[in-house]
Amino acid sequence: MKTLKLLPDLPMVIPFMIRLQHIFKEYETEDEKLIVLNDINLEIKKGEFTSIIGPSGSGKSTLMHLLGMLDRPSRGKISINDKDVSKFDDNEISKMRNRFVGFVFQQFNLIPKLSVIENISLPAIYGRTNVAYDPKNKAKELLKRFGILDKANALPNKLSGGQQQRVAIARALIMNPNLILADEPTGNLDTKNGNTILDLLGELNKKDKITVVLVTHEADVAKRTKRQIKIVDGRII
Amino acid sequence: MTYIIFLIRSSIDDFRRNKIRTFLTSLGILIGVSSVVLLIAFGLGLKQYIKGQFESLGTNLILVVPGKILQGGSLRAGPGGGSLGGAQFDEKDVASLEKARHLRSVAPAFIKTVTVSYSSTAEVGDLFASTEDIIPVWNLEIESGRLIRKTDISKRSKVAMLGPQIAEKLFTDKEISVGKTIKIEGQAFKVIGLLKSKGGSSGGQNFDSFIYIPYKSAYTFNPKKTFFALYTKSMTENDINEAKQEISTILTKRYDEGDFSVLEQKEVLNAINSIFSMLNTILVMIGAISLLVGGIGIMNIMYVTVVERTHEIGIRRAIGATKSDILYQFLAESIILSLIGGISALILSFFVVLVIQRFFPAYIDLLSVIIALVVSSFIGIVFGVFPARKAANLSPIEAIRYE
Repeated sequence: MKTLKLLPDLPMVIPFMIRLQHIFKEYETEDEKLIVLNDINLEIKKGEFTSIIGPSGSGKSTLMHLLGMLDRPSRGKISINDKDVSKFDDNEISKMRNRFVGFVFQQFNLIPKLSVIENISLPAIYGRTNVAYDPKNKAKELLKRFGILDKANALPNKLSGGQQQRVAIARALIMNPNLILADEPTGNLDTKNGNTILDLLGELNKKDKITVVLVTHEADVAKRTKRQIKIVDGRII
Repeated sequence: MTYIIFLIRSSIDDFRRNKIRTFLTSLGILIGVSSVVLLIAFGLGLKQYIKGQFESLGTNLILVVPGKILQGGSLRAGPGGGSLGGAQFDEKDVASLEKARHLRSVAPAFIKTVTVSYSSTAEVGDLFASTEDIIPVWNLEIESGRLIRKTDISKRSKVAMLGPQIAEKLFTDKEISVGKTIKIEGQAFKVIGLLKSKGGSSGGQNFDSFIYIPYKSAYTFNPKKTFFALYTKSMTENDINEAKQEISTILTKRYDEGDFSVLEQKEVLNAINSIFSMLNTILVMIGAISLLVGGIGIMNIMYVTVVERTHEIGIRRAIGATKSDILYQFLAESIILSLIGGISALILSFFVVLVIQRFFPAYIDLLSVIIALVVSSFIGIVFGVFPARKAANLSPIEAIRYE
């Protein structure tokens, strides 16, 4: 396996930056060409707390998937720390996702058959032995910090929505990521729980210096971030 | 290492959640592997039994039979009577072979199914006509009375030794048979000896039901005066080759070289080996069909599992699982599923063989155990790799959107 120069032992030393240049994402159906993202140019700097806001169908989730390397653009260049992502094969991209990105989804996306602690530790298993700490201990620390340590061995369906989303954030944090991508993280939560989650994401940005990108359709949510990127019909406006 | 444990643990966790499905899927493999293992066990048992029979005949045994049986170590026709064509041995051959320097003994053998009676009881039995030299060859032992002697042959005495099974059929108490006169195809023979049991039969010849008489006394039943085989023994184990050469030289004076076969024990054992490896191959192929069906069952269920778990695959990919991680996970499942079937099959076969051993000398050897484990892992890989590849090649984004 090729060693990834992108994976330094001390991620904080290298300023993290993701740059999108002339990004297009198109889908072709039988009778029409659907342009989901139309010439997106965007830079996200290390330590930023950014939101991508737009109505549903605007392409904001697709943009988030591209930032998180879950998907590839139809055209254009994505670079992370000045390295062209399109040059990486699936294996390398998977490793990048594992080490650099933490996802938080609207649907929480925990694996229902795994306990809370197993869900949180799973990225460390896929990261093999590349972490210097014990994933189980780190998972417990995170649960303690989020006030749900007593749920460590419970299955996700025994948890409330707010608790599940905190577990998902803990999972996103287990590999010490540079970037957290949160796709409508409050979409399935009531206001109170939603606010807790948003506070938590703010704290991670401020205290832990993690770059956070928040995707939302709610202006109130977007307001909490320093920078807002508005997207309509696949274009940044 | 932790990664392998992780794969095994997640597979087992999944089986726990789908107990019935797991059971039914591995049942297919269980049946397949059991049939292969049991068929091998039967084949081996039968082979061991027959080999044992021949091995007990001693290493200096040389069997002379009509026809060409062995050619270059492979088998062309089964050993049998004169029906094979070729030479029809008679007393002249016995006489000329008896003069051979390297031969200790020559026992001609003639077998015929006959009706044998005592007072009002009549039975069907196998007449085995030979000389006293057949006694050490077959390892015959006397229970009561005496064995056939050389003088019985030369005098053409109408005497018979009875196997315990036929004796039991003719006489209510087999112990009283010695000294009685029985009738073989209407001719009176005096029972001089009762033989000890040589143990069960296995579809082949049953020594216990034979009626042994001097071969010259059997000429009325054998008007052509021919023999189906000549059992000879070399002087020592070391001059077997010379003995065989001598037999061939003597017999080629009368017959063509292709009309008879001179087989030492080793060659008889080789012949048995080649018959049974052929038989085993056929049996294993039959068993393999059910294994194939079991494998298809695994493949089918794995495809269903992949579809069911598409969303989960998407999540795993999002948090950093590579294609290989997903491939290994599903492959581990199909292999373990198949191994569960294979190991259960071994346990089941072990007990079945334990029971069967009361009637039949079947046994499971280490090779069957290895075959069972290797074959079931192999099936897990072969039939699991396609569903696993399908899972691994799912696009992460489409998988995570799948509900």
